[in-house]
Amino acid sequence: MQANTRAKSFITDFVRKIPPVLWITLLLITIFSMASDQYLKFSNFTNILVQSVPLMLVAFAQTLIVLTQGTDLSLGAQVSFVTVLWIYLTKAGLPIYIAAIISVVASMFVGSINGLIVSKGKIPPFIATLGMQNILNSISMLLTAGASIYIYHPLFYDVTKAKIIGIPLVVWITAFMFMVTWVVLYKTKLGAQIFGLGGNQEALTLAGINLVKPSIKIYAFAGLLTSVSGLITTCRLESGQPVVGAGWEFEAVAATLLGGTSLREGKGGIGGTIFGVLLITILKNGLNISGVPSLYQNAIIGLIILMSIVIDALARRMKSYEEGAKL
Amino acid sequence: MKKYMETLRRSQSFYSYIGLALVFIIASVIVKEFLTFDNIITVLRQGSILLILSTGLTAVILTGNMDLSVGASSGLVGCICAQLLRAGLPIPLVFLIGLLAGALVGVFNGFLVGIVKLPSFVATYGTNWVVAGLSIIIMHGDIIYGLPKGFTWFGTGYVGPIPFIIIFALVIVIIAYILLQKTTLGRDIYAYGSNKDAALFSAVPIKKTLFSAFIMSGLTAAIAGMLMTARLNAADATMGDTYGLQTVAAVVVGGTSMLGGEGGITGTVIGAMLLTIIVNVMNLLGISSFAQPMVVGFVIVVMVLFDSYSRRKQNTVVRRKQPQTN
Repeated sequence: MQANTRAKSFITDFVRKIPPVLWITLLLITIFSMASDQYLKFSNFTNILVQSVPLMLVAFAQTLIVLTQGTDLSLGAQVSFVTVLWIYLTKAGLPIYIAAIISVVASMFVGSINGLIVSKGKIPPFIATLGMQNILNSISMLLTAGASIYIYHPLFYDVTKAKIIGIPLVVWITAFMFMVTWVVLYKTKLGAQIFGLGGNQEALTLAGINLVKPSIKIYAFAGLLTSVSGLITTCRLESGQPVVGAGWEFEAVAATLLGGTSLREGKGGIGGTIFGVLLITILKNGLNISGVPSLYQNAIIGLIILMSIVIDALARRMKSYEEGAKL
Repeated sequence: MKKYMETLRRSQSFYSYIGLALVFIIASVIVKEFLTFDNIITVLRQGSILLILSTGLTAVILTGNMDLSVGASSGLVGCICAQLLRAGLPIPLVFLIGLLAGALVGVFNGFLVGIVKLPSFVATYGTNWVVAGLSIIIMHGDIIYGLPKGFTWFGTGYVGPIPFIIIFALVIVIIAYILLQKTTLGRDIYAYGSNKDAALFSAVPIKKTLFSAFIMSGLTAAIAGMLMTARLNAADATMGDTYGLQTVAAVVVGGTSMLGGEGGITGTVIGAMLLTIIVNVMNLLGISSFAQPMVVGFVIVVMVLFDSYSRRKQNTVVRRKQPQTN
């Protein structure tokens, strides 16, 4: 009896102190390291870091938007759009750097339209961005006639292979973008407005604060993060692919939730999102390395991510019950 | 007449009616093949699968939730049925198993939203992913052709001059209409959507209501999936994908509020027809299929904007009127 309650309190303690995202990740690493002896190598962990980069940037963007109690379902389509536009413009004869800048600006423009529709039109963000997702997918398909487009340029290889102090350049870029996002979120007026939008929009409106401008800025900033992800993806694939980002918006939402940002209250932050993204990347990398046929991978990835979200939600509720009981 | 016009203007689907009328007139003017008996039948036939899918989704959206898994679920049921038919099972049994599979997806969604309390669109997007993955596993990356005649008749057969599938869709719409407007379950669904807490205090069985709505959506997805397979006389893992977005669009364009509690089947019929006509006209005009999602996406955003605008206008009118009535 005593042992039983002690075991119970050990489990509740465990759940309270260690967020599920961490132990699920550890569990995955343990399983994969048993399944393949190639897994626990240092080079594989560098691989995981590099593989996580594109999703990481999209997930930062998604976190900002989820903090405003929105969701941007057009982010994946924005990634595809940027890869296509960059290659398309370069093929059309523009210098590659100019084309890159235009692609970034285009993505930010798309974001600001999202922000405008959501705030000025007062429609649910996920419907507005679902519409945008389809519009962007169409544009990407029309620009490429539905297939991948290629150019050869040494820049692509240089970006993916470059290392600074032994760490790949793309990881540095991600770290830098993380810092920028962190500063925006915690040290600027825009960041305060993001938390404000997630907290109580009505109160902000009644206080006479115009929600249109901050919304436009937030979605445009998300567009900036997404476009960097798009540029890095292009470098890695050395091509523009109209469907490469499909589904990333949801993986980003999943990572955000697993990282402890709430879809309902505007609570959370960008740090946790990193762990959410790492969980997803470790899962994908591990399935590949341990030789699970690709036929089964989609269902397994979906199921495990969904299960992780469920476990996380349940653990969170348990915790809030306990806190309620203490009061 | 004036009174009638006033009720129409006040109805949630006002902009959908105008939209449908406009699209219909424009279509008849710019495409001369549009207003022929054959083409109207084609439009109705193309629209019936979308219509069936959207009736179930209407129930879910009326509760203030979302079901993004309908497209993939219909694909999954189609794949399961095709495999079972190839294995030689009798057709009625296959129908039964198909319906059961759809209902199970609904129960799964209901569990995630009602018990685990995940936001519905996250939960159902996740379901969408898992279900799509299952379809790939079931099909082993294959496409199945050539199903039994008795099965394909449901998709391709005629009753007199009218395709069976249209009649079938009509029957589903009527059943859904009666369920939502004339039964306790329907009232509970509306009550749940307009104010969940009030519904709970008025002894509405809220969990049962939520599960019922998701099961309705799963069942219509199953029916749509089987009809789709019957009509194509083939099954492929990704065949339901394009319907996911269009279904959401049809319901929302039909004036059912994303916040729940407002709207209904009538609007959904209008919305589904409006979208089908737009796609039909694009096909008749020979517009690239790559461009079609853009038009559908654009229509969604514009219609939802109009809807949100008219709702806000209505609310201010009500607020202004309040002091006078006191």
